Amino acid sequence: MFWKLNRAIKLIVLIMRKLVLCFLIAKVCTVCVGQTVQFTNEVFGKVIDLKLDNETAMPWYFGSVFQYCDDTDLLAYWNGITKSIKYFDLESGETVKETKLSPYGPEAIPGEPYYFYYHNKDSIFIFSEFQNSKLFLVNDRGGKVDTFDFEAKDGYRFTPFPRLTRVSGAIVVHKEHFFLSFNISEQKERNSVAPVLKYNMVTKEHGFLKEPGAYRDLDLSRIPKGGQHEFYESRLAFNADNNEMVINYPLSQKLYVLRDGIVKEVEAKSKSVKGFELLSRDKNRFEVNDVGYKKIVFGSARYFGIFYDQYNKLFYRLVKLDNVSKTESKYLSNSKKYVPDSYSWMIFDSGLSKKTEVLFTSREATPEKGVFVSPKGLWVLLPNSKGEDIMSIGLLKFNEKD
Amino acid sequence: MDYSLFLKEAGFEVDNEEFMLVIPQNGCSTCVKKSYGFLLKNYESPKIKYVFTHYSSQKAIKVRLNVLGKEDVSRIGFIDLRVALENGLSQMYPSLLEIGKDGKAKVTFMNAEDGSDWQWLEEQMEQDSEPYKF
Repeated sequence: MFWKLNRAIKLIVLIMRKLVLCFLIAKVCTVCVGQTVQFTNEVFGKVIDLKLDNETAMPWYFGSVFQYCDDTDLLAYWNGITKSIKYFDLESGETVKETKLSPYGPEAIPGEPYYFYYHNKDSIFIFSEFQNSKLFLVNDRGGKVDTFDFEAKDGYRFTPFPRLTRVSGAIVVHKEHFFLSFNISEQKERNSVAPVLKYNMVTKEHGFLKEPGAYRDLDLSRIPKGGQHEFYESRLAFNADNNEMVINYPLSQKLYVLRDGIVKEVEAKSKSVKGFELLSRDKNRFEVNDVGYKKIVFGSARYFGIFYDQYNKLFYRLVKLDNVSKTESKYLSNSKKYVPDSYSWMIFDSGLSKKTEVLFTSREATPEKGVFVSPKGLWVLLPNSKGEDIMSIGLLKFNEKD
Repeated sequence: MDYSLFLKEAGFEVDNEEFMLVIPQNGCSTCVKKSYGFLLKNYESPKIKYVFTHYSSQKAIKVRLNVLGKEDVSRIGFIDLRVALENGLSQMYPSLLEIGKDGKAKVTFMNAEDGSDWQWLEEQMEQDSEPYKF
């Protein structure tokens, strides 16, 4: 009897020892090779897991809109599947509220809504594809409050087509005006004005800003067709303290600062961007519409956008770094190996003097799919690694000793 | 293409369907919109099955179909983009597979500018079943 008990205890102790050993080995391996763990500790000040209900999903390829709501301290997220804004509690990660848009009836938002801007609970701006010349205003119950029509008399034959920039930086609201940031046109003659529309919500007067014009000196035929999202999206940031609006164009090392109708160009280049490969590449090697050429030059550097952090008085500029040579060797060798995208976040003070720059890759964060600013700083969407019911966001931690 | 190997690798089966529509969820948005329009109209047809590729989230597709009134998602499958590309399918346009009994399928990219490809497919859905012949 005692002998059997003694043997059983020895067996349990042996199993426990093996389990502890396995755990320690696994832990050591995670710390040594697990890049996410390493990155989380060094670059993210905080990571939050947002819990997705059974009708909410992660953003698709072109990303989605995330926005911090000042008045409620909630995070608003555009859930394209249900055409609704889901609000998350940033502490618990739980969904606590929803603004559902109606596709029918008097409150209908027609078309394919894909962008919102939360001004306050009574004023949420909605932009809908296939309703290109309208911006809808709803409240947080989804009730339609107003419609702003900016149809052009000439049908936008001579100005940028009114397709709103995705993910972030498409709308600035200031007093009685809103500003909309459109795609730069692929046709040079339509870029005689800036791709920014100014609208007076009281008088309904509207028109494009004359300056800063975009890409007037560039050979646009070098940018492959289908590159609208990558190379043509303009983005805005606004500093309400001094009424300065800052405009970002993907293929410009400079930022454009607009104040009192005067445009000032500010050098804001990344130390990792020497130039834009697709603008200087020998096109003779590939036909411009050739699949290979497109794949390769799509790895060209581009400035994704500019963000103003009104809480900490900082600007952030995101740049996707050049990947052309890696993409080219992958394409030419017919390799299936995953090549991650590389990015750099630049941080500027409110006067646009650069303070520091942080490098990372798409293995760690996917800012082109989701990014927003809160009083704590700049948050980005993290790659999906915890299943389809968890969406993780990380608060970037900047090292100012650069 | 040899569709039986393709399906095996994708872990997906066809029964007596004549067609399979492979939809790249993150591809050309107009084409995806057309695909959904076709799928909703012909979802119950025994002639066709639907497979999604180049997607970010299976959940997003299932929820979307649910929202659109299709609660039974057993008629749809998911195929890794790598498998789709290795079998000559497109990551941009929907690919229509006309399934033959010999284990082979004819592949057509649904990108005709005049929409004749979609019109033809609609007509096939309306016709009585006939086995595909090469």
